[in-house]
Amino acid sequence: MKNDSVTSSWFRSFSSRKKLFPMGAALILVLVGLFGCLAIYSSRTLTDQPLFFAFKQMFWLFPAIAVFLAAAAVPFRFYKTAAPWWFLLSVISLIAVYLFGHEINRMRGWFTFGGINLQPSEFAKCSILLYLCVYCGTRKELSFPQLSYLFLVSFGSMILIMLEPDFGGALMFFVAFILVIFLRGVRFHYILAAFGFLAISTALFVTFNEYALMRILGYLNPDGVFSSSAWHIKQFQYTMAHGGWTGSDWGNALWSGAFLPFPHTDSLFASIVESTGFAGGFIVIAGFVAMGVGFCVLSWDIRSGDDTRRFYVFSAGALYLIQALIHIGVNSVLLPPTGVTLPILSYGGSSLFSVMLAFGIAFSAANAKE
Amino acid sequence: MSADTFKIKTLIVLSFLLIWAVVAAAHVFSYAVFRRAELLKTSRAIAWREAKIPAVRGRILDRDGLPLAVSAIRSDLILETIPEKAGRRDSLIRQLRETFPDFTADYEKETYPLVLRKNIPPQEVVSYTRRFRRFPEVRVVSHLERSVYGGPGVRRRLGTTALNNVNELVGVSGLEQEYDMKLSGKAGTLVVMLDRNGAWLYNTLRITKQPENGRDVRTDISLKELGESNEK
Repeated sequence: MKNDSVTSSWFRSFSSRKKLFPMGAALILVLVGLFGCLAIYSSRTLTDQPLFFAFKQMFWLFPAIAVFLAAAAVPFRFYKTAAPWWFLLSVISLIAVYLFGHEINRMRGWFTFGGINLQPSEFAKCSILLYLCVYCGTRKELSFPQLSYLFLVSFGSMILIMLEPDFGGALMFFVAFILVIFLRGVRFHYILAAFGFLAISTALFVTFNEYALMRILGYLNPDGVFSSSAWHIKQFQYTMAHGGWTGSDWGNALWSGAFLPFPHTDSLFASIVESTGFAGGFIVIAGFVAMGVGFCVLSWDIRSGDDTRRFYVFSAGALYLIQALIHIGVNSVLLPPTGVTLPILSYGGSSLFSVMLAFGIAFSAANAKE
Repeated sequence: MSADTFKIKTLIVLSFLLIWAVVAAAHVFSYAVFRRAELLKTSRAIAWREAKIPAVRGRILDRDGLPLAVSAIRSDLILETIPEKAGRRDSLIRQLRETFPDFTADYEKETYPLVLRKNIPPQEVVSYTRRFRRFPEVRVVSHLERSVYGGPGVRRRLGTTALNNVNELVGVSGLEQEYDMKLSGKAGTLVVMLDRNGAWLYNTLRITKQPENGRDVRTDISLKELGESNEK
């Protein structure tokens, strides 16, 4: 009887979602990360060292999982206290990277420490989301000055990233801002005004970056006078056509390796479709949607009255789902070409660590007892 | 905020994202399945090229089987042109200066094509092809060269060869011309995929028709009788 009781209590404790979920999620993240490594390898088979980026990503995957588990173990009240300071540090790092950063692929967005490149905008994305949630979650409603303040800090950070220039990264800051103020509840015309400001910022960005203008024109009229600017768009179409229903096998993503820009980062989804076909692409899309739904359900379980935690858990899932959908949208020619990576799967240590950190904080928020 | 209000707001966001995901999946389906045949046809026309593999010309032998005329492949490293885009041009010139520090050409003013290295051995062919893969402007050009042995009298009888427009050796005089049909052989074909720079992707190379090498021709000339050695 005693043994039964111990077993039953152990089982209850083990199957209790609050204990099981971080470990179960870590296991899922490892599997997804390894799938990403395979996809990175497949997209690089035409190079002299096809395993180089895949091994590097694998090397970062396990420390990133440790970061996820550690972040999930830290009490959420710590993040609540640290949020403004972390955000301030992020803004300083964005200014510093613009002034003293290292340029890779015509983007001044990296610090280099002993051969390791660190992209501060990835971590800033995570910090602004937390800061917005803490700011909005602790207030019943947002007055106009408070909303203006949030608008200024969000768009100020966004402009710093646009200067790198990284339009895709800046877009994610806008997404975080819109998500959180929508959850908090603001008048609809404020949200419209924010979209208007985004349109103006985009127009300015496009005016000062000719390549972006040509890409948009090429996207709008791929077979017309701007057909040469629609090169990437056409290559995405050809890459997916090579995939068919079930793909051309791992290691045979020839078209993406030969014709797509950055097949292991910004064009990874198209490369996955070439390797695994529509079936593989559909599973990736469904997987990201399931992730968003999972975070959503997790946020519903948090008791009313603790809006910071609810907002953060939902927004963390939604933000990375939106990032994935932007990446997939660009690769499936639904949106004009923008440099956004596929969370967890694309190559990049900073991106991987920032996703794991954001998810770890979300699990901490979901498990908080305070 | 009440739990219901929060739930409704999250459901609104999720529904929007779900619609986005469905539209994206439909786009993927359209390209990967529905329009596949049409897109594959266009893409193949862009990326795949057919090229001829020249047949190796047969040898001309003397009465005792000693070679009088033999074909050998000769490879030169050529810079076809200089890229138009400033970034690529600077990058190529930097790489050329690193690879050939003794070659003091002013790449911006030279006339092209420019021979960078003549008669390079096979191991260097591989090394240069890898090193300049990003720059299809730098190519290894290989062609067949006819080496003739023996003195002036023998050479006169053997005659001469020249390269035709598909890089095959054809006999233009002497025995080379007389036995041209037998010596020539038949060229083969290959297909290969090019990358966005126009460089060959060697692991996609497929031989569609093997070349048939030319047959050897034995003559009544005897180097031994003439007292000549079989040196070039």
